[in-house]
Amino acid sequence: MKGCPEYVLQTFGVKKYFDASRTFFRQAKQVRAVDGVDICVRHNETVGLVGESGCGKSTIARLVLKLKRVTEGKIFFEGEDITFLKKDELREIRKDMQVVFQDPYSSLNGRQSIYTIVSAPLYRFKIGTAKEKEEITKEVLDRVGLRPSDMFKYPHQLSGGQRQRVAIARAIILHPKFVVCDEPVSALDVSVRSQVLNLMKDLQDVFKMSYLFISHDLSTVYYLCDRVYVMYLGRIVEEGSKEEIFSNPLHPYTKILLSAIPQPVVGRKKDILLLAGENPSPIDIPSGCRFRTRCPFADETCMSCDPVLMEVGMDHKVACLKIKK
Amino acid sequence: MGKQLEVKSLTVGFRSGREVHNAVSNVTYYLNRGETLCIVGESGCGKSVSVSSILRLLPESSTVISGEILFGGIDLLQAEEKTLDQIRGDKISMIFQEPMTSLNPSMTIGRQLIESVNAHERVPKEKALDLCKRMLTEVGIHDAERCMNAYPHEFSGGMRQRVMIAMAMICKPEILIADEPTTALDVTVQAQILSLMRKLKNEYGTSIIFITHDMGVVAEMADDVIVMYAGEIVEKSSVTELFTNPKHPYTKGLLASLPHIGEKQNRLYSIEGTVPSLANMPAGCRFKQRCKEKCDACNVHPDLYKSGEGYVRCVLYSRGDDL
Repeated sequence: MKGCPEYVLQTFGVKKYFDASRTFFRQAKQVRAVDGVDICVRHNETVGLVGESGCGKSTIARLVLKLKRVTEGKIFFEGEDITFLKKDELREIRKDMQVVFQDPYSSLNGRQSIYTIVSAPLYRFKIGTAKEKEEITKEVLDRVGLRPSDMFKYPHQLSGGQRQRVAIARAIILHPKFVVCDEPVSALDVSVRSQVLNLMKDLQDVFKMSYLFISHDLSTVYYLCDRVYVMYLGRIVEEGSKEEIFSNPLHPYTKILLSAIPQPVVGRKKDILLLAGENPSPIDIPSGCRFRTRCPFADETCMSCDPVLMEVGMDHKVACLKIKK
Repeated sequence: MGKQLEVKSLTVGFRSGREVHNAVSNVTYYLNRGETLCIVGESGCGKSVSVSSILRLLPESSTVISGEILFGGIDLLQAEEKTLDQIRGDKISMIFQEPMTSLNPSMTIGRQLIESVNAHERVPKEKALDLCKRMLTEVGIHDAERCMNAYPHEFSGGMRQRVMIAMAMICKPEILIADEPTTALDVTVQAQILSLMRKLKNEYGTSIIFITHDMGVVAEMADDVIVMYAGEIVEKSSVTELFTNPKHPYTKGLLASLPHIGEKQNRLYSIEGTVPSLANMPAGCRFKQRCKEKCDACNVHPDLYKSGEGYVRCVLYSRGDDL
């Protein structure tokens, strides 16, 4: 199998199973956190990955960054198979692949100055002389809207928004081609959130990066992304262009997810679809369609047949048995 | 309809060394019977502190509180601990953001629920058990029997929040204070919890004070809205008025900075700068450094001016309705 160089990132049937602890009464079972996921990200594109907590979206982030080993499947980066690369082979690729985490309070080392944090990649890859390193760091701090004097501060002296800017500066200092953003604005206040979102958009225009934007907030996904993947219990249930997903959602889960977003508009019709029941555990995934236990349209066929993603239109795929071509 | 709870010029300060920093300054509002009042604002704006002081939940040794909070003819700030104990949980109850930290992990749900019943009424055990089960069913927990014997860690976040709501509503309080009850939950679960709260409000006629930072939740829940910034109320109005005709530059900025689904937005509006720290409050208008419409008059601290049916703390509206 070969990857396509047109894409920055491609995954084929990626699975990640974790071993659940075995007890005296229970056989060892597996948590099927990610259960066969195909994702592709084009150059200079922002791809959104949405789903509720526990659906496996952060696990995917860790898999494509090679922070965790896949159980099964293949990952291609710019057409190159990186699934089983060794540590030192990975190093070169890590230059082009960066990450911004959700919580800027725990993703920055509190005992390092902002300069040390942001310039760390330069030291790692031995780029430039000491003076050049300082210049590059200053430039990147300026780019993300921090003052050069902030260089000598420590994370606790900065606000949440500023810290997230530091995390972004560290991610983009080597001009990567691909950045995974794992809920980068969820921990921020509304007024700061829009500042950071705008910054991410501007940086993409300048550096021509691709983002894999993981979020549970569908309105930010709508603002930032070009294409969207909707995930439920370890699987992609619907994928497509932003316009398709938001204006013509087909999978019942996507419909419910969209109707659940509280919109800042008064007098909206209150025809909210409520999701029945609780999220099933990824240890005991229902037979057949994994959404059937909570789906308002499920019937007997859904119990036995596991739907696969099917093309239903231009750049639009759905995994639901009820949807015909 | 009438005023059920009145908060008059409430100021809450925290001691820090010899200084006192006011987290909430001069906040006045009232809650109408059977209505939902939403308090919105960013973190650190004093929204949680202002409601925690209603039930006097803040540590008395490190806080300086002044003002009046009137409920049923009693000033809660002056009331004795004994009177307060009768009000807490029985007449006014509260739910918090993180249900795991507000439930006792070493007690079964049933015991915790019965405890809150017994705190206010002497009822036979059978009846209390029955009441608890009924309440659990009411909040949408189907297997109430099993739930009574379960521990909090056995539940998901949404279920725990349901248990918290059941516990808060079990004595049929007149007022429910909800401090960001859905912030830690997924959108689909949030939708369930919000619809549950609306249902209970209609059934029991409970008035709700709802704290949130999510404008979408405000639009769905509120009758009246208070917008807080840096410890002060900057705007007070009905929910329709707030969303159709926001007045304070901060409110306008907040609403403009939200991404809207289905609307093409190339850039989001953003309010420049950050919230000033409590120790370093600027003189005059507290929002002036970030304000797009500031003028010389902003150096004087503005009052809450009446404008239309609402109130705004901005000099632009100081001349009243003619603006």
